[in-house]
Amino acid sequence: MGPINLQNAVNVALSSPRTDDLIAGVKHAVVTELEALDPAAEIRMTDYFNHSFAPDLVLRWSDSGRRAERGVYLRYSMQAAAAGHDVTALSDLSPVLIALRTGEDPSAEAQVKLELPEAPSVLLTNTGALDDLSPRQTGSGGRQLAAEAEPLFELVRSNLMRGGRGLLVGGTAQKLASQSRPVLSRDGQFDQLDRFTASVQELFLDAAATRLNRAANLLRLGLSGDRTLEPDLVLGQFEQGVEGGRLSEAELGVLVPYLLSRQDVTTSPRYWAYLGSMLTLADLERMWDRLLGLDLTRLVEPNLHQWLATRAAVTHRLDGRPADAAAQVGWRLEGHMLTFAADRWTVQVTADKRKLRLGENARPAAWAEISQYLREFRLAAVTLQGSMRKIRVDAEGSANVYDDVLAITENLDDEFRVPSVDIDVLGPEPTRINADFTTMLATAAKSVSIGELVRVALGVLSRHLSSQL
Amino acid sequence: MSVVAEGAHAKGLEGVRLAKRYLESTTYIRLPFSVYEDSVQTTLVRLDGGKKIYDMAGHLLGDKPHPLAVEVKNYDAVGNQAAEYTEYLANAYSITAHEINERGDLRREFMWVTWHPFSQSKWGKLTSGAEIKAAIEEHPEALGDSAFDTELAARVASRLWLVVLSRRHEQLMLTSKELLQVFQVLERKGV
Repeated sequence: MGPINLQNAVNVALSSPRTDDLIAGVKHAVVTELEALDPAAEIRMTDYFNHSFAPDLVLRWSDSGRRAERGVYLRYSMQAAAAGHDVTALSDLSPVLIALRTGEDPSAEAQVKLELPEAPSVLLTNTGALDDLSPRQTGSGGRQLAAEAEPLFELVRSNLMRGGRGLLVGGTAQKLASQSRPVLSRDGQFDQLDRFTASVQELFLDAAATRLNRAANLLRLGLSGDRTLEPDLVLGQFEQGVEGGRLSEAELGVLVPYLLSRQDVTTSPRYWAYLGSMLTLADLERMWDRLLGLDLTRLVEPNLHQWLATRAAVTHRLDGRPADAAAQVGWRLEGHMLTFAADRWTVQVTADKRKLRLGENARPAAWAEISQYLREFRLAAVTLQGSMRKIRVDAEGSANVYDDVLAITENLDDEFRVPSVDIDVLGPEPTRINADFTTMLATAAKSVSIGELVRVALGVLSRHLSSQL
Repeated sequence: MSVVAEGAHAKGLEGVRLAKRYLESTTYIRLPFSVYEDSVQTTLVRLDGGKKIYDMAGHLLGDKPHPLAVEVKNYDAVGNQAAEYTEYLANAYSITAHEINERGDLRREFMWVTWHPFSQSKWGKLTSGAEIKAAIEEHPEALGDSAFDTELAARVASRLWLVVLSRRHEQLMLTSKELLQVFQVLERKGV
């Protein structure tokens, strides 16, 4: 079966003699297309059709936690929209107007072009243009493949209904589609991105244009390679501009897998740290399914001290794993969680501690075996379990009790075991990490950098595991 | 299309646009179909099988939506409205009778929207059963093989609307933003 075409579906619906069938058929066809363009948006059908003031559809979405919506008004043709002066009449509502019948109508287009300067937040398009931009035109490859191959095109689609503006029909739509697609040559790619940026300014509202240009700039910087990247200059300007902030869910889902999957993207830690500043560990966990199988090391390592987590778990790496797993050292997403594979250990970290719950399965650590490794940490509390006594040593304030514990264990004739230790992490956001040898979990009282949790997991917990092997 | 016909077409289109905006702004009326975009949906059938194309078609909302056919006369003068209105009355009767025969009483209403009054000597009686009877007498072909039904004429008369608009009516309408807020609060039930 060939690509599904909105124009055909709408034309079939419009030919229905029964009013109810006509309206339901048209709305269903349009909703199907809008869902394909922007799967994250919620689309509600209203009881109205081709009404002067009430929208046919309402598109709702979440933007950085805030709910936003935009009305979609269906019109029979560009001529109907022009005759109704809908652009002017509805300009206060910043709507999307979709002409159902696609046909060249220069006089109608000339009319709406006169109105659009006074209605800068209105998008007027038609079913033909939506077909030109439709992900359904990519055939059976599916959206995932399209996103991996054409990240900007994918973002244009998901931003179109939320933030498109102006007259998007015919050649303009085809030009936008073409400019959103990658070209093979390196220089051609940069020219393409320049043209894309210009079109985006014209065809998208400020917030959407900013997002798309940020995405284009991330691609431009990423693809420019180490030789030409001047991070201090380029990224410095970039960071001071208005384009900072968090990446949306759609941007994350498209850009991060794309950049990670391309080997020609820069390895500059500054670049990846910049990208990392626009997302969180929780964001990565939410998009786990799009990152499966990708090596995340380029992205994670520069952000180890920027991204926050609450819990880490250590396991012996070769437990139940294929023999060649030893070759895959680095950061990946496995089992919905960010996972670091070291030579002998696997460390899982998570932003949501509820995701990592292991039952008690190990003996408390022997103080004699782990004490030398604890010296480099700031011990806040230690419980010592001897054969004759149990001693709890707590720090007053932020004092380090390591020397106290050492003195106690040296002066008492007993073999002490340690179920867990509390380690203070100093800095601007001080917190305490509990390293539990019985569960092999390192848990922060409040969010702490992944780097600190991994340091405790590998520097403390893995020592106990090592002694058990 | 000649220049005169083109001008008449544009004027007619403009009248339909203004009438649609005004009527829909009342929140009681939905007119999704116009003759300029989908004449199939604005065409109704008479007793004699003849077809009448209205300028707009939709529903009048209330406890239960009633179908509505609208005739728009964007005239600056009386013009030929008296004769056209007589035909409109005959059609309203004939179409209603035909629908009752074929599908039962849909309670269809008929609206005449003009910018210029006409037949002023009998203005107050233009939506009466007597005028419908007179219209049928003038257009007997509208009856087909049926006999005239006075009771039905009275019923059709109760479903007639005669609306005179002003060029400045748009200035009295709520803005699109205000209207959208109104629509979100009201829950008019319709198709």
